[in-house]
Amino acid sequence: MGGLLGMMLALPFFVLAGLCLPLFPLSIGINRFIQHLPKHAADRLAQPQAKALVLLVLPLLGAMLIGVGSWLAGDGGGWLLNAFAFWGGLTSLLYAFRLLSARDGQIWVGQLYTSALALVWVGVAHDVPPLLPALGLAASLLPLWFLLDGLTQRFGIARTGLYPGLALRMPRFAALFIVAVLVAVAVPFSPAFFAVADLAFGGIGANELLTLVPLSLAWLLWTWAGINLLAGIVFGEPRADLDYVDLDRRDVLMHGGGMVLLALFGLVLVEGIL
Amino acid sequence: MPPGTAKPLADQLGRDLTLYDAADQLFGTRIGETLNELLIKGLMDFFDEGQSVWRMPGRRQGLFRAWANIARRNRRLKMRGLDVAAILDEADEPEAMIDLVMTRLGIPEQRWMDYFTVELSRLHGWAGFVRWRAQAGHYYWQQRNPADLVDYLAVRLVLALALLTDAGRRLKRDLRWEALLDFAATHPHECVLRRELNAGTVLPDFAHRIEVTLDSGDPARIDALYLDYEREKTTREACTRARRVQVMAAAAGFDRASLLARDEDALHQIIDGTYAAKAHEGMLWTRALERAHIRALLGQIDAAAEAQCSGAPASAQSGDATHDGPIGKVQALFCIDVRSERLRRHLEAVGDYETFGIAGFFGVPIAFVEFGKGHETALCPAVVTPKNVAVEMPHTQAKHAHSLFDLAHEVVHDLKNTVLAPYVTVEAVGLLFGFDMVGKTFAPRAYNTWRQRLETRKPPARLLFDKLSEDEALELVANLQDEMVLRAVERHFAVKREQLTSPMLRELRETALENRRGQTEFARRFGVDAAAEAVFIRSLQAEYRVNSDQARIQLEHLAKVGFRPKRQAQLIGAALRGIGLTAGFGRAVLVVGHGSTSENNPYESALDCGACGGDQGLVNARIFAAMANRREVRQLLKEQGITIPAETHFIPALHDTTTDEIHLADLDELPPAALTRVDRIREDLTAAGRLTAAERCRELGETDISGPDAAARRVKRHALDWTQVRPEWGLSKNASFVIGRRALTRTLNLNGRAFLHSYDYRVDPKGRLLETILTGPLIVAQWINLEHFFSVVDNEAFGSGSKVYHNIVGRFGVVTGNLSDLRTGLPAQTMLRGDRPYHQPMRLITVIEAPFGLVEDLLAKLYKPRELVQNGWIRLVVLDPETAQAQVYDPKHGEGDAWQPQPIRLPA
Repeated sequence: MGGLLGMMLALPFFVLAGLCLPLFPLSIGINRFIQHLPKHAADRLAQPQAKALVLLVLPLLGAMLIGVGSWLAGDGGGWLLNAFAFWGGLTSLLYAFRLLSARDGQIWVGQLYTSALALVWVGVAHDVPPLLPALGLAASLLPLWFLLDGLTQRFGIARTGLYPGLALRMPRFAALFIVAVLVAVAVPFSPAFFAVADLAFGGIGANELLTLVPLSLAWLLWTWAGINLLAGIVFGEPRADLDYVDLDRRDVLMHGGGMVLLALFGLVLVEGIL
Repeated sequence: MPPGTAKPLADQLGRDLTLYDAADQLFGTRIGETLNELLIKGLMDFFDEGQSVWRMPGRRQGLFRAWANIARRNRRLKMRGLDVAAILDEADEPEAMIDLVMTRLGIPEQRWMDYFTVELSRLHGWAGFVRWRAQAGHYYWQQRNPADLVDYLAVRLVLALALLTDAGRRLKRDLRWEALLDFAATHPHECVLRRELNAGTVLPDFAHRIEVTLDSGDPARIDALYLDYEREKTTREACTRARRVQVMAAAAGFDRASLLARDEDALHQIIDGTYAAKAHEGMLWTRALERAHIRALLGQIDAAAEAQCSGAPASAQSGDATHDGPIGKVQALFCIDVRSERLRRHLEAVGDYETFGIAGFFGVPIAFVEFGKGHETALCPAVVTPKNVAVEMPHTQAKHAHSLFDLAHEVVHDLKNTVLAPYVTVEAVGLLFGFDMVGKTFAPRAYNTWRQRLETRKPPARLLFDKLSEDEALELVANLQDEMVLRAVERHFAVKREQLTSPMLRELRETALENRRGQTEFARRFGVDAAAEAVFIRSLQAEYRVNSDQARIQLEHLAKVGFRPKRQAQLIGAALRGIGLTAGFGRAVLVVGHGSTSENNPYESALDCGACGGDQGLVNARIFAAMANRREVRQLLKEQGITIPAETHFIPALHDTTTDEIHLADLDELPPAALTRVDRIREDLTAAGRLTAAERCRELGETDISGPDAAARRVKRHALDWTQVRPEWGLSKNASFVIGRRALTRTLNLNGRAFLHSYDYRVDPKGRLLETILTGPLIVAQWINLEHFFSVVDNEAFGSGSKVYHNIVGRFGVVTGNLSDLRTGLPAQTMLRGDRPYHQPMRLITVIEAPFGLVEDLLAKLYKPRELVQNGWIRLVVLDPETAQAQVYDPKHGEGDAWQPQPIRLPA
């Protein structure tokens, strides 16, 4: 395929992909979905496990749609992909900036998810296969997602500033939470880090400015937001009027095991980079 | 931290809460945090004592004016929306500014004092520092850059007004006094919910609902939610209380069933009683600790006396001081510091030593000018102001040139401190710092020994502590002036010393001092015309300060140097009588000051001698020993009834409390005969030091210590290890202060927890010596005790938290992280072992061995000690040797029954 017709046919696919690898304002939908609270017990789609599944499936779908769109656009679709990359970069920075003021756990994850997956477009414009980076970025949020759900079950809400000092009262949970936040904000050797590296190494040869500015700025803002999240939940003086119940051994093994699996997935990404 | 939200806002505003605290709680602004941040930055700039390279300009005008000058032009403040300049333009004086801000915020004048108190308590560390600076008129930086609490308050209030105005504009609300009170009165339910939400006390699962409801602004929904919330909060609080009481009951052996068997009123009473008791719980435990300690201490003293009476092992253990060893009896004067107790105990056990406890400045208050330093350091307790100066003077030619290592060190540090150079320096010499780090971390002992070899050592020096006669002072000033003239001649005319004669120099000096007029011989000899000569003389007067005014100032300074022989005898006599050492002198009397060695430790001075103003005690020990060794002084002492034999020599020493090494000083001053004893004394001191180190290693939780040798090596490593956050425990665990004969405690193991001041009531019938102890050493010991007390009961508020996060600020204090309140008190590593307190919070248990009547009379006479005792800041126990009774003072029993007697036997 290719030519003007090909590009016109590709455009809807890219736009649909923009729902899965969210581009603002298409990103509003996925953020609404993540923040949606269950109205009743039967509201299965609002359950954290279902949402986690959606978070993992959407990047696969997005990658597939991009694949179809790229095939349709053919070799002449470079400018179109560049435009989407620019759009993706801006979306990523916008959500990374908003992340700084997010206090609610679900909003936080939703915005980081949007900011991270929007970056995949930067790689797509420079012929980086989108599947592995998209999966790496999305999967890195899962440990944090489930731990925040644990906070919601304990305290009724996952939010910073309401029950500080978990490190003193729930040390096992706090340790896992710190690791999960670091993994989510793509600190080195997390799958998200390798995903970002994959996007950076793939794009840097083609266009340094378009690649490095959104990637590095977004990464910086994520880290800053991660520190804010930790400061409001893990550190500080615990409240005397709340009951803090730490994770039991089984939960620790389960969460820890999940993180080990993620680390193994990171190795797959390393192979992708190499 | 602002207080909780339990009380109504109207009651708390101005008493517990500032206006911006209220705004933060009601509208979720973060004015308090921003205000503290902006203020701290300004304070760090102003109070800097040489850490920063670019210093704040205009600091000599004082804190408020210097800050205002900068703030007027601060674009960052403007960009944040703070119109500080407009506020500052309305008043120049800090007092007027405070008045203006308070009026503009609408705070009623009768609430101002309360409001100021709340403001000052927000950053109590900084406010305390400013207050101290304002009172320390002699402090160099205060003289140079003055600041007081009025300045501080004015800066704080200006920022508060600017931030409140900006927040009000953004929120479209009036945030002044009346408006906030009005809001609280008209929206009571909304007010409670807002405060719960923003102050972090909300029930977490209600947070979202409250937020959404408040956003809706619907009064009916807000009122309905309030009722729900209040009911739920009350229920949960009741559940929490019931659960806690259940846990307590289970711990006391009552199961749940027996609790539930009681009627509702009884359960309410139990719960209310338990929570009411909680307010007094801390004091209850403190009193229990004190009581247990007093009982144990008195029991030990009584047991020792009994053992002595029965002639049993205790006396054998005591090591009878009357049996002289091969070097004869050696007496040793130690500081009263708790860390001396262990060393004294081991030294007495090792050899024929009789030890005494005395305040570590040995009764010689001096302002010391160290060689190479241009300022005076007060080496005496903070309650004393030294009137005499001692000067250190090298007795070998001081090298002016520094070693290559020192030069490189200086260059690297200068580069590090500049603004741009570090970016280059890191690349260029960063690796050197890497080597330094590896050496310090992995082989601290070997690496530090190697480094010390590279550094230039201070030349050996003697102390000038004799009063200069008028002729000597004049001669000294004249020599100084001649030196200046010489330098000036060389610089202006390139004329060397060998071309000049002494009369020429004298003539130039006298001309500069305006004691003569006319052409000088120098001008004639070197063809200097009259105009050039006049310029040179003016330069001598102005630039080189060879003038009559400067000479007068120099003479005034010199008049403060040293002590006259009579005063020296007076000081030595008072010190010796104070500890009861007026006869029976040994051939060697050690005068042991103390200090500490540690690396990378901003709290090092907290480990040094408190009686020497937080410095090492060696200088005082050297001066004391030198005075006591003087024939003229001994003659005068003899007239006072204290005869020191000619063969007695006082030897100064320094006890390093981190390594437990004792270094003897000024041995070159000893006659050869006395030197023969020194080796044996050194061996004994080393042995006692190692035993002390072994005992301390157990306290430090050190493992794998095979014996005293290994312990000595381990503590030495601690002193040199830059990663060591606890080089020693310092004065932690201090509990008691024993004022009495050594016989009272000689056989006791007090575990380094007692200040020991030697005192013999038998030589002090009028109580004058005891009065000195009660008004000096006791006060300092009580300060130390309470500093530890408060640092351990709330280490975050009154202590300084963990050392790990500390950063030095402005070379005068520490902050946590990069910006925080100035930390006061002691760090967690000094107070806690893990998360448990190491120091036990007890008030100082002061034990005085003296007739009860004498102590009562002194307390009636002395205001400060009486206040300490009667207001419960210290616990007093009087051991009356005449009635064989211990009188324990407890104000809890009421004025009439405060003294609780109990029988006790005292060692002879």
